[in-house]
Amino acid sequence: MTQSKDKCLLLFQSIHRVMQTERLIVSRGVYYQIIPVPKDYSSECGMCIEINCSDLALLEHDLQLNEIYFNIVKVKS
Amino acid sequence: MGNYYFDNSATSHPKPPEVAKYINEYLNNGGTYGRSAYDRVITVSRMVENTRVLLAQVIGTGLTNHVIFTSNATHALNIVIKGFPYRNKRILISPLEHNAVTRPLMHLLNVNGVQHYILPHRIDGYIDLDRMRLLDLKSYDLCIVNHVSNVNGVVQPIAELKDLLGDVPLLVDASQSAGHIPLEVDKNNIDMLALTGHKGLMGPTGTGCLFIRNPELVSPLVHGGTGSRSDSHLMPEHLPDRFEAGTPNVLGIYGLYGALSAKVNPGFSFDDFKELLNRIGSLNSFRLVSAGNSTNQAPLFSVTSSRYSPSELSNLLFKRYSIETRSGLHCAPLAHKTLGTFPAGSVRFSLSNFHSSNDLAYLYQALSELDHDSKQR
Ligand SMILES: Cc1ncc(COP(=O)(O)O)c(C=O)c1O
Repeated sequence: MTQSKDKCLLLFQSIHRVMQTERLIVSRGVYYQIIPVPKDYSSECGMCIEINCSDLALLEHDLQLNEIYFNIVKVKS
Repeated sequence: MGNYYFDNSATSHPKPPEVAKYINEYLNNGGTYGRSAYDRVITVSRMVENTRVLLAQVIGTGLTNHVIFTSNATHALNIVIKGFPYRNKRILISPLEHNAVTRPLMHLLNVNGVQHYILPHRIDGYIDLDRMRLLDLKSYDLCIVNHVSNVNGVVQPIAELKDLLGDVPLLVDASQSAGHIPLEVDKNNIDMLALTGHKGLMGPTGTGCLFIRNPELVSPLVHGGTGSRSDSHLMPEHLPDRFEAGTPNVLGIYGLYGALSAKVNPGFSFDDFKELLNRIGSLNSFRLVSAGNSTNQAPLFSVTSSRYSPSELSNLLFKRYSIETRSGLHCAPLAHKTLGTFPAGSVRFSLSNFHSSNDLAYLYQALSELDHDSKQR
């Protein structure tokens, strides 16, 4: 089960998509942070977005609606 | 003093104050686009992407990632003209194209044997859609049309044109229309559109964009770093990165953001402008070079004089009246040939929202005095 403090990283192909996603997240008013892509993951565009995994379902829907493709990495806290 | 700068088709002036404000903000704060993820870079990346969204609104598309930053319209046009796969080696163009189109086309002709053909048109260069129906359109690979002529201001019917073209891709040069006329690429199913940021959009020089609906059709013109897929020696396929190698003109893009977020209401009405054209048209020693039908007229036009050469007239306007204009061929010899003003060219007057009806009256007064002088000589 996903713990509420678990963090998820959203990885995108382009900065364009990172910023488009940021606008969607801001409109939802949930926690996020833009951070460098951790070294272990394939670096697509240098930055990625960290969110609470508990918000993932909500945001996934927004991203799909906007045809924004992304990868998800779960990071245990 | 009024605004006597009538060379906005070359580059707009003045700019809205927001342009300098945002350029200054960038100069003070710095940072690059993407490539890292510290605050300075995130702020810049956000601004660049917000500007892309504003440009997408100007263009009339929901496909924001299909809006590619370029250094100007010339760059955007070159991407398509040089990267397009020509099967039939035949291109249709309007009779009012700028050298930004005709020179790359001459290059294509010399290097690849791709031929270009001029669309049927009326005397003012407006495309004759009825005669166009007689062409075997399927035998052409691409059609390129200058939306608004930078010589006589004629507005081409791009929506009807695309309807007729069907599957033949249309590339619109919106250099002179952006900022003046709604572009609506999604509504009209326009395939590709090039624009520049420093004319009607009132942004800084060195900015522009290409809208491209089907990017897989076109190969990139410039290859290099994008900050994405850095493990690969190949250009990424995804947009906008596929066409955006190299660090973008962040300074200019900040200025463009300022321009696009500013609201400048026109200080004159279209009726004031039409009246100006009618009055100039009635001066004996001048020939007005404009659209045959005022409903197809953008806020720019030319004149020729039976008394003065274009350079003499432009110089007199400046010396006596501080009116700034551009004389000669306006980088559009094809357009001047079409309009019967080649090789001497014309004097062009191009307006911006910063003009008032008084400025138009001042311009008319200057021309009528010169008309009167020429009668007395
Ligand atoms: C119709 C047209 N196309 C293309 C251009 C090229 O614009 P830029 O020099 O900004 O690339 C111009 C500007 O001079 C123009 O008037």
